[in-house]
Amino acid sequence: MLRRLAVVSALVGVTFAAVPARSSRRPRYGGTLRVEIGAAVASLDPDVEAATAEEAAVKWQIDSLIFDHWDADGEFAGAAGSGPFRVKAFEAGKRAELAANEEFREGRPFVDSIEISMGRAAHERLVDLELSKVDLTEIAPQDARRAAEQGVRVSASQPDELLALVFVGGNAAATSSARTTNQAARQAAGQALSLAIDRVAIVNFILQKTGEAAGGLLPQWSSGTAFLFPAAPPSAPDLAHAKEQWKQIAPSGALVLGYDSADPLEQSVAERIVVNAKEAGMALRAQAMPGASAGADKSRGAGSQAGHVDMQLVRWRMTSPLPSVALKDFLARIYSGPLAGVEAGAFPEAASPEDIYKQQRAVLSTYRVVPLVWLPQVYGLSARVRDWKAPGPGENWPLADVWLDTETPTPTGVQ
Amino acid sequence: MLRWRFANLFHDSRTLMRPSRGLPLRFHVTLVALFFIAVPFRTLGQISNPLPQPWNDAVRKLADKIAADVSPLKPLSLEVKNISPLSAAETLNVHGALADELRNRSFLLASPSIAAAESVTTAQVTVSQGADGYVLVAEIKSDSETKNEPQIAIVSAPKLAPSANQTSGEILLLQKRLIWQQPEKFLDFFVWPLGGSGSASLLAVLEPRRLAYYEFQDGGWRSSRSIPIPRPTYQPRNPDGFFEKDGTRLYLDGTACTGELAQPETVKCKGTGAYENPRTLPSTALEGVNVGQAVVFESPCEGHGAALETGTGDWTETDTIQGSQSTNDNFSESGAPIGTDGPVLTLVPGSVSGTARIVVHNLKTGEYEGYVVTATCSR
Repeated sequence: MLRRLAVVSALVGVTFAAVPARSSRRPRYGGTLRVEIGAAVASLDPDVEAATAEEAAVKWQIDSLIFDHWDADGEFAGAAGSGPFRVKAFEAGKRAELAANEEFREGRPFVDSIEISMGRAAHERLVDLELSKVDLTEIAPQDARRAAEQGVRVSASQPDELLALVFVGGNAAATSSARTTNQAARQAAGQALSLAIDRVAIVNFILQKTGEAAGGLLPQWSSGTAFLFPAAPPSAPDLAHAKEQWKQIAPSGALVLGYDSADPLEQSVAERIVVNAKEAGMALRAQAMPGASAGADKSRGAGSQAGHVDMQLVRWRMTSPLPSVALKDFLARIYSGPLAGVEAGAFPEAASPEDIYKQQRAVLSTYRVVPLVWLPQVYGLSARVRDWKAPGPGENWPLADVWLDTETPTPTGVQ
Repeated sequence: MLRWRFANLFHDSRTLMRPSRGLPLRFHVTLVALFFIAVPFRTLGQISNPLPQPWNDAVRKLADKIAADVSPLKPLSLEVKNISPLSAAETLNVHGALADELRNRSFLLASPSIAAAESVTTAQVTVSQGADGYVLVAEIKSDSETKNEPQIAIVSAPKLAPSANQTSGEILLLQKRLIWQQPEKFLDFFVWPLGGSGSASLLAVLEPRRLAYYEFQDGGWRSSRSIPIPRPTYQPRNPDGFFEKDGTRLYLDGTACTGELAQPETVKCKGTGAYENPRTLPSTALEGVNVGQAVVFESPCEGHGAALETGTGDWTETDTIQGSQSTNDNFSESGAPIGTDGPVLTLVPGSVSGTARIVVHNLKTGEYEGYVVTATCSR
């Protein structure tokens, strides 16, 4: 490579360059980016509510490509097509074709168009990626390692999605003494479970090391203080303590842990928790919840309104990389879900790292929310995709910045 | 929000502000003797504090919090652990500064051996990093409360590490100096030094839609003028723009500016309409040359040409500037590269031989930073 620099110097001659050379890595224009997604988006109209959380997430990403900006309340504003792309074709639930907006305020995107195929199953997306039929697709975290081993180019974000166990169901109607007894029992059960669950094993075996064990409500990369909430595997004293706690509750039957029946990761984790609980002498069984993925309620942990489960698994994605903003959003979900009816402590507008730590400690000491693991967002990329960066919390797919390199082969593996 | 970062680009404060050296010989002898007596007995906490002010403030706050939680009547064992990207030397500096602050609050710091043998309070301080910046966390445990949860004290520290990234090379020694930093994207910058008539130093920052001027006054860059650059709605995503080497002209896609750039009041810019469709812009002016951006100049080492070259990664990655020197017809790497916290978006020859200007998109802070890179010959 450096030998080639001699060519550069020869070109500029004895005057020594006065004009900057251009880089070979400067983005190139043109081409069609092929994207496959699992969700089926019924409408791109921001006013039309999505049927599932997965659809809502993808719809938000597509809308962010065709709308220039948001209102102060986070709603998309302006005309469709004012963003970096405009809709060229749309078939509800099947496909969308977006064309580059030549007059976009921040400059025309590098690719000419984006083709989005919807409703593709996870295994179909991986196969298409391996066959170079697609340039960008989402990969489930538990499949990331296998995909990389098969030669797929994988891009993962910082772990920003919390998989947690939350207690559900209210007891507002109960008498004061019954409520106190109930709360104490839930707290003891939560503490026993928290001590018994082997989070590291979930990360190592179920997630194939794509993720991090979670002890707190924020990941270490965001708060810098997650190490104060240990998430080590349970020790013998931990298991003994869990058994002791469980004996004090002496429930009449097994506790029921609900999980989203459409989420294979939740199912695996729920089954693992049942095994962990058994090792600590606790009676717990996992139960699939068919409607768990519908609407936004699942993400709030509002839980099983039917009352068939005592606790359920939730996946909460951070809305911002900033710890105070992300925690504020989590607290809103917690105090409207598992801690509904409990008075929230004051959370300052400009929260310090110590405020953030104390808020987490206050929630976790109730054991109504038991953090399990942090999950990254994982994407599979074709070799020609350049300048892609897995979006962090609150960020969009950076498809206006992505360009397609048809000349330079890019190494495979995890980025 | 604009702010200046480096005032003395062309003024060497070490020479300008140096006091008279006229000390009598006997003072020199005494000082040297004191130095050799004192150095072997210095302790960690007695090292002169090399931390920048914001870090000192953070350390002071943490010391205040520890002092509020612990009685100074009992010895305190201080341990500092680093789980952040801070270097060992920087961590040592934090440790030293904190030890100093605690001593100033009348704490008796126990050595680890004493701490193990006697009843002391332990403060384990962890230097960590979050999205907002560094954090200093103290876990304070009294020997009488070993079964209890430790008391926690947390303070936030700056986003940037205490010391700048500086690497020395063996042959071509590269150094970078931060000149300008702002949240908004800019393409290039240029500094006109102090004028002969006593006029102030002038900084011009070329943004895609304006040319901003700043004058150096009262120790900082003050905004003096902003010249809008009318742009068509149609523009490339990565507009190309830079000042020419001597600062007499600037180039910006689709725009023509007239007047003397060093005299802002004479400068006017207008869209030319001769705007190339970005699709037809060449991706590289030197097809087949598979390097990052590069500038070539006369080497500060005699008889050689020299080059500065960026890395070849994506604009989503950190970058490096590597120096090279020509021997015969070939360039070979010379000295160690210097790192940047984000991609180098612009690399252009500086106004002085052996220098270059770079614009970096700092991925940690999100800000755009302008540096002058200087290559000197290290023999």
